[in-house]
Amino acid sequence: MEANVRIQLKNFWAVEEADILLNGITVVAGINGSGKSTLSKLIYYTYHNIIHYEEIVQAKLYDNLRSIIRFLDLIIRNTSKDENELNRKLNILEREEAILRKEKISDINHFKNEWVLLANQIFAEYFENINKKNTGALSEQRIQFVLRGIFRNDKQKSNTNDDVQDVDFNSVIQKINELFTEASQALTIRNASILRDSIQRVFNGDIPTEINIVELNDKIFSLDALHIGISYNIQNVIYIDTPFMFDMEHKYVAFDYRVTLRDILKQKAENKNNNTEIYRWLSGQIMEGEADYDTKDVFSDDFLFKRSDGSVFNIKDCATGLQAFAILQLLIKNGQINDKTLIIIDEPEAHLHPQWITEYANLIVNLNKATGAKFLLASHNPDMVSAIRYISEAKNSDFAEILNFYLAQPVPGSKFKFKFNHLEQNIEPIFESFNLSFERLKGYIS
Amino acid sequence: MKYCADTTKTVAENINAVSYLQRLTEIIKSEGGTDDDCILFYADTHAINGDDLEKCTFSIRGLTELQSSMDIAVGLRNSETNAIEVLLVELKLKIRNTDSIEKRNMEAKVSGSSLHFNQAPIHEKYIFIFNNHFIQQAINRFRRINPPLGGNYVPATLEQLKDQYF
Repeated sequence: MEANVRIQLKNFWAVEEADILLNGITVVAGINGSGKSTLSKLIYYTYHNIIHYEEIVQAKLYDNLRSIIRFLDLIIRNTSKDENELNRKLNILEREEAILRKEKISDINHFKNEWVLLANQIFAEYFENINKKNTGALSEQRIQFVLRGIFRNDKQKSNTNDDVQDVDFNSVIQKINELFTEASQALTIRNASILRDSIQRVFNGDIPTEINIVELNDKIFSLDALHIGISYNIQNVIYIDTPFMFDMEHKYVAFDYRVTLRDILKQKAENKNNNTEIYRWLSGQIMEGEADYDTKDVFSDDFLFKRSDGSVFNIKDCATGLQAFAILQLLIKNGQINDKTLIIIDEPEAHLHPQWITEYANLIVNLNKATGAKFLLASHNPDMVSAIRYISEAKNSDFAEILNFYLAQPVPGSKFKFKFNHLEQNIEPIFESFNLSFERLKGYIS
Repeated sequence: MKYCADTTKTVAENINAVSYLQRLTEIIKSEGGTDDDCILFYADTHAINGDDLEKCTFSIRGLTELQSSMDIAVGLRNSETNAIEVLLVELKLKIRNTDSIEKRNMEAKVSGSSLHFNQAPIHEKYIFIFNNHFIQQAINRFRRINPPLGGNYVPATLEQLKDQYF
């Protein structure tokens, strides 16, 4: 079988080995602690960071520039001759910082010139004000202390123990140039080490011994690669693990994929897809209403559920199972699901009544068929596994091409390491694992 | 209790069903079994074809329509006590999805076949045969059907049937 997308992984937390195909709908099953969520999150962050590589480079540039921004802020605050000048200069600095932090920069070399110009102006005005005795000069000791902070990281990187020698303002300009040039080069060559670092940061410094992302037999990323390829098959990746994300304030959200998902759900698509057959079925027969982001109350950051009888509820007050459907409903409506989308759902059955587990499985099969979106599901529910298997077979003549099941099984000699075995469309080994619960029950009641 | 050819024949004679004795492998094949399935059993092993028996006798028994029935009935004998029983077996080898299994259908098959074999005690377990691609799903389904099936409704493979009773 030709792999649309193939992910190979070795030795990462509970996962000893996995070789996963994402051709349509992929289901990974296994006991608690077998690495299903680890695998799902690793695939999410790897793809997310490949897709958002430019933003990662920009974020890294911003991180590296922050000590310089603090230095510029210090100079402005201590040397502006009056409040107007202070506010004017701070506003300029804040605007440039905000662009770097929040906006996607299309021309990094142009932006570099803006920063060099800005720093030069701030320094020039500093010296001019000192010369005119408009303001007092900062003590040389303090300036050197802050400047050393800017260059100390470089020393650490080069493994030298000497402290940073005295540096001057020109070195700061040079440093700005270097950082932007480094970022520009990283954007051009798509440096794989930046992706590796970004994955390590998510997983507390850990990384698998092997990870390969292969699309149509082309390796687009591996740990030993120098460059990252461009993902053609997946250009949008979404991770769903709990409907309670509707009830989470940003500042309390521990995992940023939930923040990302909330942001995606808020987005209004230009071409709404609320007239598709799937959307009508979902809204009319299953949910009996529509979820929407509350745009009328500017102080609200909530989602609403408009029931078919005209009643409107905060979605946080609705049934949790309904919220689970609402996530997919909003993704459909907002045009987020297409043939370049990978949707990863950890325990899609959570919070759902068995009847709705079947409906949810039906929705996934229909979405895959209608849009070509890929799904990766981590499940340990017999109804979900069975429904995905048989609804796919009933609705897709090519189900054998698009449907793949995996079961995490302990590696011989280790209780805590698992290999994900490929079952293709055979769900019997998964049910064999589910059926262990009957033996346990027998043990407790006999 | 194990399969006994003589007992099977006696059971058939007692209910005038000798003409419905058939090679077990033929019944297995007609219900979707493969050559590999048939290799498990001796070619001369005979069983009563439950469906044929029902088809040909329901009107004689004054019924207006066919009753559900188990596919196979064989005689069992306990070699130590000489006690005999009739084992009822349903072949689900053609099944493509265990979600279609329903409690009332299974109970109807057992009760329909039980009416035929009132001359000898029916074995306490009713065996439902699935192929190796569905047996774990069937076990799960049997255990989760609600209201629950009795523990005497047993999903098994042909290999397990052979090991247990042949």
